[in-house]
Amino acid sequence: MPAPQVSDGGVAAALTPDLTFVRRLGVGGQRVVCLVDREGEQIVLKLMNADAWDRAEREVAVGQRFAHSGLSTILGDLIKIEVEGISCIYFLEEFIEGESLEALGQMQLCEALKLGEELIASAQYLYDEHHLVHRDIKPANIMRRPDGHFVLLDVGVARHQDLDTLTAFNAPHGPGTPGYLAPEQLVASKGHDLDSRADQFAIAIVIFERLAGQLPFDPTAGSYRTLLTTGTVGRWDGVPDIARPLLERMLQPKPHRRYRPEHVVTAIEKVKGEAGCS
Amino acid sequence: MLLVQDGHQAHTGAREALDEEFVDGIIWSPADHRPDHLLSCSSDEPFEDAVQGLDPQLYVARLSDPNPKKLQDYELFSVPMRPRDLAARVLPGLVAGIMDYQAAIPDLTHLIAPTLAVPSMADRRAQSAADLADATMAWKEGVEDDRPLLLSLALERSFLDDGDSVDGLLDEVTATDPDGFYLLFELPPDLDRERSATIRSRALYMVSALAENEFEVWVGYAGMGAQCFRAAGAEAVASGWFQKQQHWSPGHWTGEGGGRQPKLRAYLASTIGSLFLEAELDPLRRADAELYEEVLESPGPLAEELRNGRSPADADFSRSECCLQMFATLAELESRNTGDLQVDLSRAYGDLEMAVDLLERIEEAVQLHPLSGVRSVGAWLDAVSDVAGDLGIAL
Repeated sequence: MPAPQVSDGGVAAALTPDLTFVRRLGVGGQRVVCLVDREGEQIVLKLMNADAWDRAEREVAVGQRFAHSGLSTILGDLIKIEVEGISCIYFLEEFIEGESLEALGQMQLCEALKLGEELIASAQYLYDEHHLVHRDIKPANIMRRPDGHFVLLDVGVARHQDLDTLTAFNAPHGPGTPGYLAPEQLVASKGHDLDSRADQFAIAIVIFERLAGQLPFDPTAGSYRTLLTTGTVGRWDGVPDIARPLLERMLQPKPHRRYRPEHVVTAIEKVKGEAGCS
Repeated sequence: MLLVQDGHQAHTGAREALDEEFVDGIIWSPADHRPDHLLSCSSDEPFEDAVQGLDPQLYVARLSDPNPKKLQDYELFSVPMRPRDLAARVLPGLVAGIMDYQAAIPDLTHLIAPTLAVPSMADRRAQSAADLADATMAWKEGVEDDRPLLLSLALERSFLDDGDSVDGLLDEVTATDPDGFYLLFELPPDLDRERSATIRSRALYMVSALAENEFEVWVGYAGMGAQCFRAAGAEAVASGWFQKQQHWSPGHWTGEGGGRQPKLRAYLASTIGSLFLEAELDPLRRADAELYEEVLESPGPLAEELRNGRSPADADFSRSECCLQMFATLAELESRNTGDLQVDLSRAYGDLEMAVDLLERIEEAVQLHPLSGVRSVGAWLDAVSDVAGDLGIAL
């Protein structure tokens, strides 16, 4: 279901007195994302159509329990609200100060490996503690805090391993963004066959893109599916040789040929050591 | 690591092979021992210091017309077993009984999970096997036992025919966290070369993928594929001299068994397999003395005696001599492993190429017996080539 078609003024007028509308941050998929002020603290408000209740309720229930510095935490419950005559729902989420990875350019190897290490830690926390596969790790969902640490945002399309899917997609693939999809996401549109190695694949793409300035699998190419399912990377230009074996393994098309979850951090640390990263 | 696959009423030559340091240990077959005998063997010289595992052989219980031999004496499970005996509410108790039995044997160095023979991912036995694996992992979490736990996978030929099933199974099991796996593959020796190579390459691929994921991989009933499995990354392979220890098949565990005494045969590194002493080696000696000498360029006490002039038609050959010759041959092939996947697969491929060439020349001189233990060498050659291609390794 699409994001509600509402104006900033409409949102501002509909909020309870303790919340002050600051600005719209963007419209992502099914939701309008706004920055609001609550008693001097800036927080994020995510507004959706009321029809999205079931999925949002699950997201809120999980996101309230996050206790990891690499993830944003959901604050409070899911709330019903009417905006310009449209039945909506919203929840509040921790606002992460800093820059979106989308706005950042290419990175040096050590910075890219640090990014990968921290994203893996966040994704593994999601999987181990909450049985979630994020499914949509991409630069737009990653923030770099002023202290240099990275935060993974938006578990909105995460797949809960123990629960039936609530995601109905008409796309030829399941939830996620072309260019950052793992091959199994192309076929596992209902998400039953995914595990954290799908996120490992996406994280490898993010690292690759930071190093090379381009995606390993071009989603605009007519042969995208073939390239992805055969693991045929277009060009490795810009990826230091020392990092290539790591990324080749993380980008294997078959999950069982990627790293086991508990081994991937060790593998990244090994490359960091070889590269002389602090 | 080379292990003896116990079986055939415990006539394995294991003691002699351990004494000669050809092998590192044994995988026990409870079906072939009374419980008290198995316990006394495991703590006896020379086994007490060896690597030891015990195949629970639960897969026998769900076959049609199973032949349990001595399995029932252990009172760990009934044979035959009905589907409801594997129901969710009784499964933990079944698994606990089997695993507690192993845990109580102090000389076992590894614990092996029970499993069923699985013909396909769609078969209900695949789900039961997964439930058994889960229950075994849960059992391990509840006990204080530092010994490595190997989950078992027993895959029938039909399973290996389907590459997607192999990939799917690997995706599932590599998401689990046992210490390793005990793999049983049904790789019949009598298929055509292409199909035979295909299922062998999938078995090798499984071994390689699991080893790449840093699991300890044991392959049981490895037969002449032992060196290929080791080259693909298996930590341990187990073989025995008798035909049924060379090749795992559910069919070996059905009916009343019995049968004829096996033909005496010499296992030789040059052919990477066995030739029958009287039916193949003796005619070869008479047909082409030079080729006969070449074939015998192999380690092992029997090969040495034959080189020194003992006739392959000698009626005094014993089964224990043949057993020891086999373990000496496997030990020689084992010693060539370096632990480097590319080097070992390339070496195995080279060895198999030479064996295929030698066998072609042998077949020009004599007719090989239909049950000859060298029939699959060509298929193994193709399988190693195929799996190297799958893994992106240039031979």
